[in-house]
Amino acid sequence: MLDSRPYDVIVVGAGHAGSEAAAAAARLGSRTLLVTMNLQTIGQMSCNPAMGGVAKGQIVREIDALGGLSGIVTDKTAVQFRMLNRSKGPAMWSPRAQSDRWRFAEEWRLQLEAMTNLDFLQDMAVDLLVVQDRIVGITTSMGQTVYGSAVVLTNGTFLNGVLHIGERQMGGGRAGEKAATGITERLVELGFASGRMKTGTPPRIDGRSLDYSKFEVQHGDENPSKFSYSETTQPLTKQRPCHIAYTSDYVHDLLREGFDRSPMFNGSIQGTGPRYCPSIEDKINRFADKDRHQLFVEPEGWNTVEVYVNGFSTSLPEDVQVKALRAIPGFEQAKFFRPGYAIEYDYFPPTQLGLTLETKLVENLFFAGQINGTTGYEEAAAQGLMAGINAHRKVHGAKPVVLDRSDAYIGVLIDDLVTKGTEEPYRMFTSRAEYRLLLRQDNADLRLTPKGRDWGMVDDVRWARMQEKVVRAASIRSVLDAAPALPAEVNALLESKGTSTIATKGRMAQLLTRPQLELADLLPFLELSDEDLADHEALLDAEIEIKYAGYIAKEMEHVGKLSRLEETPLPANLDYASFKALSMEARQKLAAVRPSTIGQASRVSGVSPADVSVLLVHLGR
Amino acid sequence: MDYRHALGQTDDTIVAVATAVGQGALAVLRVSGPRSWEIVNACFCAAGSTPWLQRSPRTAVFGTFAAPDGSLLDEVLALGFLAPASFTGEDSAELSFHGSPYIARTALSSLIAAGARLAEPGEFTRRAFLNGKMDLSQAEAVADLIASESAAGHAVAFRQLKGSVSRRMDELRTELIDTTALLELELDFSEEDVEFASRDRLMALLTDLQTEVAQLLETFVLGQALKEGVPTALLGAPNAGKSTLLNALLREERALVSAVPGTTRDTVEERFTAGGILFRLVDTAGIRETDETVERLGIERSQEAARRAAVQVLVVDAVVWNADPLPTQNLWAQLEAWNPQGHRVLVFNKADQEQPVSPPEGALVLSAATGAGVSELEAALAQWVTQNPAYGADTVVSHARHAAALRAAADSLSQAENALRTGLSGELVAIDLRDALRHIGSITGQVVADDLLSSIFSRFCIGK
Repeated sequence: MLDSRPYDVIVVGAGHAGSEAAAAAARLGSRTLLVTMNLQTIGQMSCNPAMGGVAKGQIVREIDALGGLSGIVTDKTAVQFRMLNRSKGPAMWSPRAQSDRWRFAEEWRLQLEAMTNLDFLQDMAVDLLVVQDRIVGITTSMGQTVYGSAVVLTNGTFLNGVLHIGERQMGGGRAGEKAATGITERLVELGFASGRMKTGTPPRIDGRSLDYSKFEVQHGDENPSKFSYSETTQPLTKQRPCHIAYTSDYVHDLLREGFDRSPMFNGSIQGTGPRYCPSIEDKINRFADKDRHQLFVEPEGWNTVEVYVNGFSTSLPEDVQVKALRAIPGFEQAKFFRPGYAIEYDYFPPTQLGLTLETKLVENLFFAGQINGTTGYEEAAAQGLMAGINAHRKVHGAKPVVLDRSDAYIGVLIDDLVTKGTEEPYRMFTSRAEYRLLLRQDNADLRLTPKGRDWGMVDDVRWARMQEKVVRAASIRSVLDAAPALPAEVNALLESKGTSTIATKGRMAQLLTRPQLELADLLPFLELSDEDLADHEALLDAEIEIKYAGYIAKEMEHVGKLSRLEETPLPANLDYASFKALSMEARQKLAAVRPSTIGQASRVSGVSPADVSVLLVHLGR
Repeated sequence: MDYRHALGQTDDTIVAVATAVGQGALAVLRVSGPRSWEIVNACFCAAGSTPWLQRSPRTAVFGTFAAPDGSLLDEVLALGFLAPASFTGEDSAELSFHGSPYIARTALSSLIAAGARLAEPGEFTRRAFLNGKMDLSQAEAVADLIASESAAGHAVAFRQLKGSVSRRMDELRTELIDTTALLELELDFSEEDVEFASRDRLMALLTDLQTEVAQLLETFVLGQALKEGVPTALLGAPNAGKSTLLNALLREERALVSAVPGTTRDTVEERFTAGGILFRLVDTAGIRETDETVERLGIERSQEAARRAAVQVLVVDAVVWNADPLPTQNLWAQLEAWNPQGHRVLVFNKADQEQPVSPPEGALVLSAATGAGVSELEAALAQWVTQNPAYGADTVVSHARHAAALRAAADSLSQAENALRTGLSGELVAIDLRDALRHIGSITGQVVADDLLSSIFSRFCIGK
């Protein structure tokens, strides 16, 4: 039975966004209710069984640094860990884990069940109770009314979801689960604009039917790292490999035979799909000259035989899927557990939100996750975390908290969404960040844990660990700065690394700036304590701060320059339509987005530097 | 907050004399603002039976214009415009009077008495900009157009007004985006099965970009010269006739001329037009070793002028040359040492007295005193300018703000090249390339991450 008192925060949906939102609000002390259509599918990985990757891995690290749970859940349930982009600089290093899909969901449920302030309800939210432009609760499909001071909607792909496989269409939010109805209609009634998006997923195959000898093997890292900064998780000691297969011209021909029955090409799918995650039919259609495409054969868990064919996302008829997949070496005998499918769902252009993810139309109503037009577990979880924190703060009269673009990928994500909106499912890329060198996976704790601590998300243990890292990194840096580099001692090393030798005494910190040298090369010459040498995170931080000092300073300078614009407020009631000097597009976009600062205005798409000059002129600057 | 206040009002009607002050055939007054037609109506009486307020916009209307006291001032042609189809985007009118400072002044008083306000400098252009009639670089071009003193300067400003700078910069931006995208590809999509650009390929693209930016910058040097006059120095030994030549070129007695060597102790600067091109001519003191303090100062100034000039005209007395060519040859070498990039022209003066014996190839022979051969010098100067490859360029960068942005972009590109050469990781090279994009973006409009991603997605098959 539900608590009869109104809740502080009601979270609708228990995917990655909903779970983080509920966990954050409950942890901060809000009496929180998590409403989901199916309590058996909390924290489901609807698509690929993996967390992280380039830019996404950085986001998971940030969530963890702020006291979110995605990193811990991932660490506890991973079957493989890789640090991508190792050959590049540290800003590009990106952790990625292959997950055990079932254990991942189970771990999320256990984590949530451990929250004292959190209640659960299995039901479908079908209506929103709004009084004087303010949310006061929800109504469920069972006719129950639940009151809450704030509501976070994280409906994912469920709002009027339609699955497509070939010419077959069926309502559903995920394979085997029904769609959610009522919420879109209510929101449109309240004045929200809605749109349609599309995404897809590949077939799931019985691993026992595959000939792995025909695949390339891809192992995890030899010395795997992990996502969470906390010591509650440990790196993997054993791992499962992934495999790589390739399509061929023949496979493409077989797929093409089904194009006339493809919902992608015969017009039955209206929603916009992501350009970076196209279906296999889209790939061979758009890049006809490419004679093969890479597929990743990913295990779905430790013990299961089910595998995920990453790269073969498709909504072609099932018979075409089977025929084409079986033409791939290693897949000749493949048995399908489930065909691939495309899904269309409602989303709400995120320019209707403020930077806290609260809607502009209805007070105390927050949106997070795919409902905002994003894709990806990591993007969803990040929004859920920030929406949960801000919903709690709003209800308790604390001032809103927002991450800047120079603070975190999460800041880039939310600013992009609410400022520019998105035409296709939005995924994070490092190129979206202006300050890529500052937003690294190794320093997410230094960037964000102090904020998380201020907001009440960070416990004493995590806080103490971060402070220890700061102190130790500083002391390692000072050792490097002071340590002399003597020609007699280091020249042999320099020669062996193919960099020029030194004639006179220098400093170790100087040597470290050479691209050919790493801190590990210099350790034998440095007097560091055993504790220093054991603290790999502090060593890495010291190394990066010295090695990339020039470029880091350059980015910091940009941050400083732009902060002036970021701090110049724009009046909320500005009548953009009357600014004839602004381009028509800028007038419309600015009126829709209502940016809170000149900096945000400058990022609204269609707003040119000339438009920004006009705003500055009007502000009298 | 009344943000409009910061701008000064834009809802009143302004007036100004649009033609240059002084005597010309015509004086045009321009009125702009919501009350333009009404204010003109108070002073102007259209000929014929249809009154001014009922005339069609953009049609010339003949009539009479009254002074503030009501007396007839002049016969004028009036042209009315309705918002937004006007230069400023507001209701406006242009009135053509007979050229006379008195008429222009009095007409202005009439219009002000009728309710117009005297415009501040640049206010018409500012209104045009604020009403969305032109972008920043076009607004800058209008200012240049108004200031342009010669046909060539006018052409530069006009081309820019039509958006050629914006267009060329857009192309440059697209190339930069595509190059940066190649680098971003291997950063964000390292796991994808696509071919990444080799370092050699990136280096080649960077070199192309640098060349392009450098070429645009060269046009700035020329564009600057065309706008303000090609700096040209008249140099030579004392009494070679430099000042006489200056006067011949200007067709008036401007410089102090005397037969006493060293009369010109200061540099004199004048402008003249040859072949439609404006030159800024600097007459200098004669160059010779001297102990006289005043003259030595003058010589130092000559040296400075020679260094700054794009063109150095060395004026030589044919009599002196025939006596001994060596001092002239030394002076020629000296000029080259002072300014190796400059263009040097050798002119033998006083051809009415003596012809030079075996002059070097390309030397001109003239008489500044009689004017014989002076037009050949003018033609040679104009020809040198028009032969500059940047001269015919469709895009001439003529605004200092654009040149500064291009220079900053050039710096960033060379840092990117350096980083690439040192073997630094792609994301570091990308920092410099993004800087270059930012600088170009300050002219053309911002470059956003979406532009980079779009470039990637349109060219590479992404997505596992």
